Amino acid sequence: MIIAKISWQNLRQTPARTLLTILAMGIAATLAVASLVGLRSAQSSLFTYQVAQTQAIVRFSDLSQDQLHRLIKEPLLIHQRRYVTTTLHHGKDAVPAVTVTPAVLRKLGPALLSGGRLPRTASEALVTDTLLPEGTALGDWLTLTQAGKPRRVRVVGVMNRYSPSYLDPSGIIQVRHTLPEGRDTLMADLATTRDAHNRVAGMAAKAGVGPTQYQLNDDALKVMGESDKAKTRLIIVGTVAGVLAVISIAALLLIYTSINLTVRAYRTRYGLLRSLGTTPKQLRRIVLSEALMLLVPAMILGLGFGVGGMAVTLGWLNRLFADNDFAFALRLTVDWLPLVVAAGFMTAVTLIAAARPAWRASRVSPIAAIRALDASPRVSKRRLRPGFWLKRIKRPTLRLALRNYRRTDRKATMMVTLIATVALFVGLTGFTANFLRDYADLTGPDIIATAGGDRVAAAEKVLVRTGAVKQHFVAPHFGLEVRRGPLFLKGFDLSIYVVSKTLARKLKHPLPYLVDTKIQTENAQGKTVMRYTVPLDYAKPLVLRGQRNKRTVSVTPTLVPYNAQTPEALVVYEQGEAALMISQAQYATWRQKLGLSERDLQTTAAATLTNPNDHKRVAQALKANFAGITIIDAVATNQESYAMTTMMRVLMSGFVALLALVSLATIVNHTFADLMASRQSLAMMQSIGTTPNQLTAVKSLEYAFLLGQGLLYGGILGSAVSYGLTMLLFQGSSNAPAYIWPTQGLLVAATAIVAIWGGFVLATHRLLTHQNIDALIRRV
Amino acid sequence: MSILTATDLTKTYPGEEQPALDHVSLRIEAGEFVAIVGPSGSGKSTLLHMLGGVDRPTEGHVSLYDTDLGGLNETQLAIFRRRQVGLIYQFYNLMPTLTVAENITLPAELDGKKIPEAELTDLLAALGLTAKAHALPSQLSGGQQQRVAIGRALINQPAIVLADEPTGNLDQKNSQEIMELLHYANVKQGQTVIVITHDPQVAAQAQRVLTIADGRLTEANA
Repeated sequence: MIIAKISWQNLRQTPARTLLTILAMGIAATLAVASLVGLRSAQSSLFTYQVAQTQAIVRFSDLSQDQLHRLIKEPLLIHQRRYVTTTLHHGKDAVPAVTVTPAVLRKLGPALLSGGRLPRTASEALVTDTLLPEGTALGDWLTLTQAGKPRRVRVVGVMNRYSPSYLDPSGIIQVRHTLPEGRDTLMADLATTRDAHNRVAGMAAKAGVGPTQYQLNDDALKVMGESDKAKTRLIIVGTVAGVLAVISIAALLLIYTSINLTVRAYRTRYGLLRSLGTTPKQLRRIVLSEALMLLVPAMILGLGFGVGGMAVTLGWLNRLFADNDFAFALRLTVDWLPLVVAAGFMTAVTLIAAARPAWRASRVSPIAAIRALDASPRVSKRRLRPGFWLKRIKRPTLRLALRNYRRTDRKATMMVTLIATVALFVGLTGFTANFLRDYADLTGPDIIATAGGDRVAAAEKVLVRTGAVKQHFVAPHFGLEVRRGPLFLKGFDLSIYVVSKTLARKLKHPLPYLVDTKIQTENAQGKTVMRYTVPLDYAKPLVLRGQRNKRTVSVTPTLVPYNAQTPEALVVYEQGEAALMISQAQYATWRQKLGLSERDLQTTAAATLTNPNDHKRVAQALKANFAGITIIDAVATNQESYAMTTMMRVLMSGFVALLALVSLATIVNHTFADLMASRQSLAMMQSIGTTPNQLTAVKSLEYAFLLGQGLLYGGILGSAVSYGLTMLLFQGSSNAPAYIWPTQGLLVAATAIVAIWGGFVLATHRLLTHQNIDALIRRV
Repeated sequence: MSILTATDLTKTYPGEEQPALDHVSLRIEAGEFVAIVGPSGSGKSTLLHMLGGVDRPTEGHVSLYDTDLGGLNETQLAIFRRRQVGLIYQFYNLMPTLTVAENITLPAELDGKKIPEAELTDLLAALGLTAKAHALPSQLSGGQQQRVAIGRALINQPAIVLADEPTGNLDQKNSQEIMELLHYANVKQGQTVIVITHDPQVAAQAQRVLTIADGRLTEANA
């Protein structure tokens, strides 16, 4: 009891220092809580995202009625959805026909839809894209056979065959209120993912379901640490341990410094307690009790700001994702695990950090109660001599500040902490800006759509009707093998675009011409260089061969270097494959000679939009009119990329900033403690006639020297770290982007340090104008 | 019966050639009231600290009853001080964050003992501090603070009370009151009291006076 009482009274007596220490420890606790809650939330969000891909965690297939009924009763299986599969035929090919109830279709169908709508009646169907014959439009009828009898379904929607959903997308999906007889499949989530593999295996065995009949979403379970591979579990544990290790370094330094300062300040008191009979062990317990008492309010602060801060950050990131059509949402997950780990971690760090100061306190001699301890500071002769600046500066406050700064010991710890903090912040944020830059490709088309056959007229009509297109290039194309040609084309397929008369009028060059692109090769010295695919002085004809009858054709095209300003730049890329542009007449000749048909053609429609925000509307218009169309939405991709890199940047910068704050709190604590310790000497200065403003000026200059030096050296070191890490990252890359200097990080660091300096100046002035000079000098 | 024996006590501080104590030997009988006098810097406080186990000698031994203080480790020495020695300083040295009552009971609480309320009330009354039981040291006068220090020194009924210039910071009236309290403890409770002083009037109140100069004890009854 007496230990707790003394500890409590010690803390109460110096409310300013106690509050400052609680705030500083609170920042460390915030960092720990925010990091752990953030990791847990990311884990939970990623799990949800992975489950959304397959739309269930487990799927049991080919079930008998008995097996189905046993599984349905299992409490571990929640959100159960059932469907029945029968087999139809399209020609000779077997086609799985999935039947679901309207409720299941409403829940699971939208994720599969890549065009059209969900079926509403029994005669309508969602059909996989590869099943549709060329030229099938939405609303057309598809004839299949079932047990030899024809069965017609109306194609109202198209789904992607390669969707990972457990609702089978490889055939057709129909809706019925009552499910027919067939092979039953049950999809479900798990009430808990703990030991998922063993539990599901046990459940399946109990229901008589074989191991090949069920499938678990391993990607989702891996995220939750439920992997049969120890490496995956190690990665998860390692990530958490790594984050905590980084936080622990900053937190240890902060708490150690704070407690150490307190022990130093209370040395006489500890000596008195020792002289009265307090054992070394009791003194250690006093110091450790004080540390733990400080931890309680710090943890409360950390919980509040950590969870609250993470909620705000995730909310902001989700808005960013939504604005950029990124189909990923971060869900704040606050359960017992991260909070308990954070509390345990902070307790351990506090006890470890306080251990040495506690030991030091226990070693205080009882004689410290009687004798003045701090002998006059040891100042070397070198420091006593006036330096370069002292000889030249006349202003008294500046001279006094310089002299004090030069002769004050115990600056080393503060300076090292300050330099390390600034270097860490500037270095890591600078590297992050270089590593996580926005690689969005703003050149090239906004939308590229590809469909089989010659669909030029239809595609142009759709694009023009949207009213959103700024420039477009629509042409059918096919591929021929280059039998004879320059080195980098020979033996490869060449894309050949058939240019209509209308399109030819927009192009700048007479047909036929080859859009010459660049490739990356090595020169004789082994250095990476860019070369034209076809040397610009190449004058020989290209000999091309078709796949059908192996006959060849010859063409001597004009070589036109790639130009980003031309319409054909929408389908050809500067560092992509070269492309040959030919007329319709030339295509007609080659078609006959090489035996080509419309099946060999694909139509590509590429467009840039007047307003990129119209990308969704244009893509939907194309999907609605062309079954089996493939669309690359570059705007959406860029937005996703931007959202992802922004998220990573925000999280990384936030983590580094909090880490820096913890270290800065150590500096603040240290400087504040020194200020309080110098109250007596300041009072003596005041007693002999120095004004508070003069003394404030002196102390302000001392702070400025310390903080300024730390900012300068830390900034230089941090810039070097950022540069070094970035060069290491892009080592060997021939097209490394330009280095981004850590100007932003330097500005933020400078602003923070100036703010701290300003705070100290204000605090010092307030102290000097309010302190009781008489009481302070009587204690001498 | 000798309660305290010091043999050949020597204390030399690091960096100093002259020892602060130079082969001092003495014997204190139980119940004695002894004054140690000497000029400033003569080694009075150093001797007191050796006798109380607050500091360790460079050479020599101190025994209280039959316990050789040199053979005790830090923990044992702390417990020894808590139970057997009552220390009173010139500048009171109270715990600023504890009340009068708490300061007085501090050594007992460190020992895990609970002082009965009645005993504490009696002690406060004897010290004239009943009305100030819940006051902080900063709210007391110098004389009152020194009385608290005496109460703290006596609470565990130690074998010896060591007072280092207990009246050095007080006026005459308060000094007299403090000395009366020490005498009361000596006479009524049989407390052995050793007082360091440079005040002849204080020394005159002792049964025995030892003089120390340049680290050496003279007129010692060894």
